[in-house]
Amino acid sequence: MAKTQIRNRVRQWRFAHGEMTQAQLAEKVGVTRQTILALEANRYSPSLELAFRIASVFERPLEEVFSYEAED
Amino acid sequence: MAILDSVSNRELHIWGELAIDLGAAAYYFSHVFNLDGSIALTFAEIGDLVGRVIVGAIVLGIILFSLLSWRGKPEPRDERDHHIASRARAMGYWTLCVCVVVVIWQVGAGTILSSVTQQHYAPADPMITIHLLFAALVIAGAIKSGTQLFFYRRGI
Repeated sequence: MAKTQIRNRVRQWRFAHGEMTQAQLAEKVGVTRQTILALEANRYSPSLELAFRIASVFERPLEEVFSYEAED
Repeated sequence: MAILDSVSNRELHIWGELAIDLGAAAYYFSHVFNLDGSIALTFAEIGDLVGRVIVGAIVLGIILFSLLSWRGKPEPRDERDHHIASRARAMGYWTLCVCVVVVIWQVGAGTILSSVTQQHYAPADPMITIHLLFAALVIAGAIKSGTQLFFYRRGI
């Protein structure tokens, strides 16, 4: 599996928001459930716009949902 | 069945496209190679064969995609789908370019060899060139679909 350097806490924030399902989050931000699934598994780095849309759904600043891990 | 649950409808449709492409190519080339003197096939015979392949692929496509539609239609494309499709198109394009260059090179080399040795070389035959160009299209299409499936599974 190709892991991206962008890490996220989407799964944690989904559960913190009334156990929101992947499908519900996908619908709110306008992507497919597979994209949310890939994102949570760190198999996809979202565009800046999608990252902001997801953070906005959780009403959190971007850096609380997404973080960047620098390569050693 | 767990693996089927993790496969999206879009991935299933790409698998379907790939199967139809490869099936059509297998039918085409099995007929070309099984005919006596395939090099001497006329344009009319090739036209007839291509017609059968196209009609067969359309019928097979209707049946296959009707079966797949029981599971649901593919979701509208999002940014990840576009990203993956773009990478796959690039791979398919470069594969097609390489294949076409190889075909052009073999036609040129065959023509030069024929004129130098005064003997007929099959690679310079226009019918062989048509078959090779068809193979190039199939290979490029398969690489494109394969690339999409790879990125959907591995991540991008």
